[in-house]
Amino acid sequence: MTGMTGMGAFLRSHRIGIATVVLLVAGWEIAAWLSPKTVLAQTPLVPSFGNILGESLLGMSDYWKFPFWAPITSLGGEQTYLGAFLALGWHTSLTVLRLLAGVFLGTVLGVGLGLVLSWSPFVRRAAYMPLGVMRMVPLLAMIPLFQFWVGTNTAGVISFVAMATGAVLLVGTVNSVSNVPARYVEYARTLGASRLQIFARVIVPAILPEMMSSALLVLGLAWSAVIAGEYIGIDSGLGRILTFAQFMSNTGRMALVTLIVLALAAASNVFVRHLIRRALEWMPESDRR
Amino acid sequence: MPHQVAGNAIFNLVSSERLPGIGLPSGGYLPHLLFTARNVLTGGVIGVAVGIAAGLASAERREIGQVLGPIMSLFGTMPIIVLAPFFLIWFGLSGTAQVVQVAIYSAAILYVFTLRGVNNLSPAFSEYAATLGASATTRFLRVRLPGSLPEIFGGLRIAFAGNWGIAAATEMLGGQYGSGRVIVALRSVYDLTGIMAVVALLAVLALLVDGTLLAIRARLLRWASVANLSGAAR
Amino acid sequence: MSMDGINLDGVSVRYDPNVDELALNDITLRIPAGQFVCIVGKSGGGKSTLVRTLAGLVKPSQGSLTVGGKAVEGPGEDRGMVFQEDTVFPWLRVQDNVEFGLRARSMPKQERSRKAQEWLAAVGLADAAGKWPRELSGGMRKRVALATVFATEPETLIMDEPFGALDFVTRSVLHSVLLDLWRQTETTIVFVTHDIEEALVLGDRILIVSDGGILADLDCPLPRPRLEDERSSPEALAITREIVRRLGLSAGTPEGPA
Repeated sequence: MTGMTGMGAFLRSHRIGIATVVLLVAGWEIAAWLSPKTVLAQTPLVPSFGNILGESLLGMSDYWKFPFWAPITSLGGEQTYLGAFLALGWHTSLTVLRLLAGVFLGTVLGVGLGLVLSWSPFVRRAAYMPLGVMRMVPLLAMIPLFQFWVGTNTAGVISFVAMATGAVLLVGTVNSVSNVPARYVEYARTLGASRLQIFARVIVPAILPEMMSSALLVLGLAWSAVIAGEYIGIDSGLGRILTFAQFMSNTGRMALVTLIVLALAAASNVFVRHLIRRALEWMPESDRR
Repeated sequence: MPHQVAGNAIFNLVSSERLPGIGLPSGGYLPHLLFTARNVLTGGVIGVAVGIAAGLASAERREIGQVLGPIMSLFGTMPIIVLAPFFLIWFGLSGTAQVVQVAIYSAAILYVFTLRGVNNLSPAFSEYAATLGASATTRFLRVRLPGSLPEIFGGLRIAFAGNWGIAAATEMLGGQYGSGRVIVALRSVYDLTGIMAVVALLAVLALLVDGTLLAIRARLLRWASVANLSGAAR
Repeated sequence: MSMDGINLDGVSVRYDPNVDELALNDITLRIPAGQFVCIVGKSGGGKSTLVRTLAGLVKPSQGSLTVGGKAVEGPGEDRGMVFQEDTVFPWLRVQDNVEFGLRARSMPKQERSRKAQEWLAAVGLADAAGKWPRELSGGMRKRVALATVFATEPETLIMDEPFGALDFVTRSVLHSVLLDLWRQTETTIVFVTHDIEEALVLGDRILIVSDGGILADLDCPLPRPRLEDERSSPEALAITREIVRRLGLSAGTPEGPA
C-alpha cells in the first residue's frame, strides 16, 4: 500500500546518489562516443550502451554450442537473440552453480575446521601462527594448482572457490572464537553447562556478529575466485566468455558480461545482507552493522 | 614437498635456467616478484589514500557521502578481477592495469572501514573535546581520525592481504612480466613445484608488508587495547 | 562441627607461579548455610578472587574448600553466580536465557518451560519471556540473571558486585527482589560490593577483605526490612564507622587526591 510513497521517499532521500549514478552512466556514454576503436574487433575502446545491448548481446549467440534450439554460429549458423539468451543463461547458470557449490563447501569446511581447531584452547593458540601465514597467501594466484590437483573442469573451479572462501572463514572462525568475552563462558559454566553445550549455545552464537561482518568480504572473494577460476581454468562460464572477448579485444561483449556479473554480485550481496539481518536479529541496533 | 618448494624458490630466485626456456626474460623469479610488488605497493598506497580520504570526507559531510557512497559500493560489491580484461586493453600490459586494479580494490575496502571507524566512535569523545574548547579541525584531527585508526588498520591489513592475489591474477591474463605471468608459464610445462614456489614467495612478500603494518599499528595504537571506543551501552 | 555451609581452610591463590604475590593468603572462613554474607574492600584486595574461588572458576593453590560438605573441584550445580558484567546471553530470548541452566541439567522441555515462567514471574518479568535481552533495560536484564540462577535452585549463590553498574533506584528495587528470593529459598548468599550502604542493607555479616586476607569479620544484626530508620540507627552507624576505620579511610585521606 505504501509502495508509491515509499518509492517517492526513496527517490527523495537518495536523490544525490541517484544523480551520481545517472551522471556516471552519462559520462560512460559520452566517453564511448569520443573513444577510438580497438584494432581487432573494431569496437570502441569504451563501448556505448547501444553497442553493448545490441551487437554485443546478439554476438553472445556465438557461445551457444548445442545442436538444438538455436543455430550454432561457428558452423555457419545465423546470430540470433534466442541463441544469445540461451548462451547467456547457460554460462551464467554454470558460473552461479560453481559459486554456490564452492561457497557451500568452503563454508562447511572452513567454519567446521575452525570450530574443531577452537575446541581446545591449546590447539587454538598453536594454530595461531600457521593461520596468520595462511591469511597472507595470495589465494587468487593458486588457480593453476587446482587445475593440476583437481582438473581443468568444474570440480577444479569449485574446489578453488571452496579453498579461497574456506581459508578466509577458517582464519575468521578461529579469531572470532578467541574474541568471545570470557564472562559468557564463565557464566555458562557456573550454570552447569557442559563443554559441548557451551560450544553450541554460547560460542557459536557469540561469534556470529564477527563472522557476519566478514561474510560480505568472503562473498566478494568467492565471486573473484569463480571468475578468476574461469578465466584460465575451464572452457565455460562467464569468466571464460570474458577472456574470449578479451582475446578479440571485443569490449562490447566484455562490458555486457561485466554488467551481468555486477548485477549478480549485487543481487547476492543484497541477499546475504538480508540473511545477516535475520541471523543477528537479537543484536542491539547500535552494534548491528 | 615443502623442502622441494623452498629449494625451488631459493635456487631460482635470482637466476633461473628454466624461465628463458618458457618464453620469459632471463633472470630468476626476483624481477617478476619485484614487478608485482611495485604494482601492489603503488596501487595499494594510492587506493588506501583515496579510500581513507573518501571515507573521512563522507563521514564529515553527508552530501559527499551520498555522491561517493554509490560509487564505492559499486566497486566494493563487484568482484574487481572482472575488470582486469578491460584495464589490460585500456592501460596496456606495462603494469598500469594491475596498479589501477589494486588501487580500486584497496580504496573500496578502506572507504568502508574508515567510514565504520568514524561512525562507530562514540560521539561523546567529540562532544567532550568541544566542551574543552577544541575547534572543528582539532576535533577532526585529534579525535575522530585517531579514534577511527583501529578500524582503518583492520581495513589496511585486509586490503594488503588481497592485493597480491589480484595483481598476480591480472598478470596471468596478459603481459610479459610479473609473478602471475611466471605462474602461467610454469603451468604450461606442468611445473607444480615452481608454481608453489612463486605463490610461497608472494606470501613471504605479503607477510613482510603485513608485518610492517603491524609494527606501524603497534606504534600508532599503543593506547588502543584498553580503550572502549564504541562507547556502546553495557 | 556441621559440614553444610561453606568451609575454607587455609586457602591461598597464586595466579602466577613465578610471582611471589598471593591473590588470597591463607584464608580460613566458615559461612553457615542460609547466611547472607557481604564482602567489602578496596579493589584489587582479593574480593573477586575469593568469590571466584568459591564458584570454582579459580583453583586454590593451597588449602581446602568445601561447600555443603563437598570439595569444590570446579563450577557445580550446588552453586550459582551472578556477575558484575551483563552476562545475559544477547542471542537467546529471555525465556531461553532462564532455561539455560535447566537445560544444562537435562530437565524435560515442558518442566523447564514452566519453571522458567515461574521464576520470571517471581522477579516481576512474567511478560518479558518472548523478548530479546536488547529490548530490556539494564535493571531488567539483572532480573533475568536472577531468575536464571535461582531457577537452578543453588544452595549457594555467589554475587560479584552484581548491581554495581545500576542507578540508585533500580538497585534499591533489586535489593528487595533479592531479599525476597533469599527469604523464600533460604539460599546461602555471598555478595561482593564496593558500597558500604549496600552491605548494610543486605548482609547478616560483613567481611572486609584486603591484601588477600580477611581484615575484619563483623556481625550486622540490624532488624529487617532495613529501611531508612534502621540504616541510620546508632547500631548501623557504628558498623559503618567500624568499616570506614578498618579500610583506613577515617581520619583525613592519607592517600592524596583520589
